[in-house]
Amino acid sequence: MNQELADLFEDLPYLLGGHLLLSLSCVLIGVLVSVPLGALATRRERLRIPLLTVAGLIQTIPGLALLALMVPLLGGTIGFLPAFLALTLYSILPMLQNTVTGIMDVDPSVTEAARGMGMTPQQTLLRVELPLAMPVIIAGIRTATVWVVGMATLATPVGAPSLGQYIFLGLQTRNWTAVIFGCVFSALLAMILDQLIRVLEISARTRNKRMGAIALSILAIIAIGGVAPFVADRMATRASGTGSGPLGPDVGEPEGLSSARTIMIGAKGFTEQYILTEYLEKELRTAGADTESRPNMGSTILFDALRSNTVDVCVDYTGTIWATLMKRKEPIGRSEMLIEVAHHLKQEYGVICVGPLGFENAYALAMRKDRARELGIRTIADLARHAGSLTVGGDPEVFGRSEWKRVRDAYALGEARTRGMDSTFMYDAVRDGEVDVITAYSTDGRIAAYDLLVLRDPKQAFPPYDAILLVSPEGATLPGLLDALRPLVNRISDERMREANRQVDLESRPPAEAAGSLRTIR
Amino acid sequence: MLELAHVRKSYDGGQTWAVEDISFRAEPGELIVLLGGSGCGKTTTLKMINRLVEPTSGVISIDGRDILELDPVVLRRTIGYVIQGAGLFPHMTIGANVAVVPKLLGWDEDRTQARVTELLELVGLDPAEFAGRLPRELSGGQRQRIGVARALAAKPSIMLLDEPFGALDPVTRDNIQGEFKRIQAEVGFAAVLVTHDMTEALLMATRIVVIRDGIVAQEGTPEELLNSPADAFVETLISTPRRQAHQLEELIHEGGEA
Repeated sequence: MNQELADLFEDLPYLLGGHLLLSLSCVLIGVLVSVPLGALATRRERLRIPLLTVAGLIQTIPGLALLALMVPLLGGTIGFLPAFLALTLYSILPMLQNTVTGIMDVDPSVTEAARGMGMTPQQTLLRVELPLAMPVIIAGIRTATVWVVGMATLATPVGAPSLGQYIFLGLQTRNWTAVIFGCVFSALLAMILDQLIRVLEISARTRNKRMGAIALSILAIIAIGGVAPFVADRMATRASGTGSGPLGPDVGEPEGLSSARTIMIGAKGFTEQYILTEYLEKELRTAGADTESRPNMGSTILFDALRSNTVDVCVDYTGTIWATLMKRKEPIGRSEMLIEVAHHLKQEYGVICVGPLGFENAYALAMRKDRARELGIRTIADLARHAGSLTVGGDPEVFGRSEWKRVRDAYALGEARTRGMDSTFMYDAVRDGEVDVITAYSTDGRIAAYDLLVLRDPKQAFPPYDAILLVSPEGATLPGLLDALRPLVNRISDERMREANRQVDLESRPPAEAAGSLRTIR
Repeated sequence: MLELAHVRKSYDGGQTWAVEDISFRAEPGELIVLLGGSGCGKTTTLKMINRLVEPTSGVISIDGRDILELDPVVLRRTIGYVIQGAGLFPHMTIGANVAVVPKLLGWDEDRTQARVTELLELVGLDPAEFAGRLPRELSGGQRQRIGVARALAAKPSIMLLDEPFGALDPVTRDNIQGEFKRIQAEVGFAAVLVTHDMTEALLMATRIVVIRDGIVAQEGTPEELLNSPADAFVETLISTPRRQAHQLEELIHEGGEA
């Protein structure tokens, strides 16, 4: 086995365990909610249609949106809880529907016989209707399980550990082996659970108790065996967080950090953030801290997690906070924005801005050099003449932001078509001519590698995007944390960051290795 | 003793009557047949006796006690109930089906099992062979016997039967009708049986209550009905079995002469 696969397998017990724990608890709680609710719905006709309608409506909400919505609804909590709630809600429909159908399909002469013999309504339900509806109910549980196992891969952006980590990380760093690895294991898990529950369904239909008991035992073994390494890992993390500290070299410099609890580092889902997470983890561990990371979080989810102390440290960008949090439309100079952003974060959220990391990852319009030459384009202003025939590609976030609208209006690009796509693919898209211009990130290694031209912005319509190191209100009170982070201010230049990104995106090096190169340049 | 006095049932607040005025009595050992066409109110009348349907007015009493004073669930456990197709619980074995009411009444395991064995023998099915089987492994006639056994489990003083033999083939049906009469003679309960089949009524009943549009058209023994039908309606009802009996007799005579 090669090293790459070995690395992927190393995380498997933890991620598979997290995936299994999340999926099974959702289905289990889903059953406990849906079956009684379904039974009630067969008794109260007025309840039936509204219940099924609501369950059906939840089902129509795209999975990723439902997951992401849970974070603000829970006041910024990330991790297991929002994923659990969203997926449980999602699992209810098939089980509710099948419970209702199963009970209503019971031969009326059988329920009449039950009543006529003197069973109470409850006895009729428990001794006759539910047992007879059981195969149909189990079929619903089966459907729900397959859905939830699939959906659990989407729990990564809200910070719940699952096999989705492979997929999201792989997509962002163009590591297709990781993507396929994550897909294969999540599909395998879904198939195994599906088949086992199918056996349960058959045993309920044929009333073969022995077969049912065997299937249930295997399920229990998988559940316990699969979840155990995950739980063990969590408990170990917790214990060491309150214990004597990790084995890392104790430089003794920041007083007290080693005795503090585990520091949680959050990150958004793109290459630069993965590298910075590894970088921060290495730095903090060197300082004696115990760390844990939650990569792949959505941008606003990450900030919610930070201000509610679920995440202690993260890297954000001044322009992002300026536009999305402060809702300011007009940009200002780089250093003024830094001051205002830091002030705003402190005032509004108690979030501490330790300082800039030193590089800027701004939005910039880029296009192929040969094409730019052909059309005679050097600045964004030159684009206006061709706006009607141009397609601009960018991540789905950018076209909703005020800065794009401002650039569009400032340079009269209103006629250009926009096309949202995952940021991983936009560089390839512009290289291959599928789009003409992209909203590139100025630190991306592919700008140079693909021979792209960054168009000048004479009107300074794009705001500055300094990378800044943020600490949660609670994190700021942890002894030694701020002291450990301060030396990192202004340490990474644009070139260094671009080079690290390039190593991951184009040379498929692991983010940890690229992070190492950021550290050695001191 | 079961007694119905001027029992009425309306589902629409008195505009129309599903059952307009029904009175009859059933003594222990008697088999009362409620006979009539579909929609005449005979099944509604039967279901009022075990309170699956609540009467609008009138009094139903068992041994002098108004059944409305009893808890319907408790009442039903003391009345045997057999329906068409038997209504056996498909997920329970034959033994478990028969044991349902004893279990509801809290009998201990030994007593319940003894009763199951006794009942299976009573309806002519070998307990060793049948107790562990599922209903779907039995023939229609066997299932109906189990339906009767299950209704008899807690030794009810009253049995209600709603077209119990309607779905059976003629030979099985004849068999099980005879069997039921034997069991009733042996156990001695009062039975009320609903049917639209005049031949069945004439062959099984102690007395027949002919119902038309929710009221009693005639009540009498099979002989009384055959010999003096109260009106044209009853006359039509009994004309069919009577004609068939004549035709059969002629056929037998012809066969004898040949």
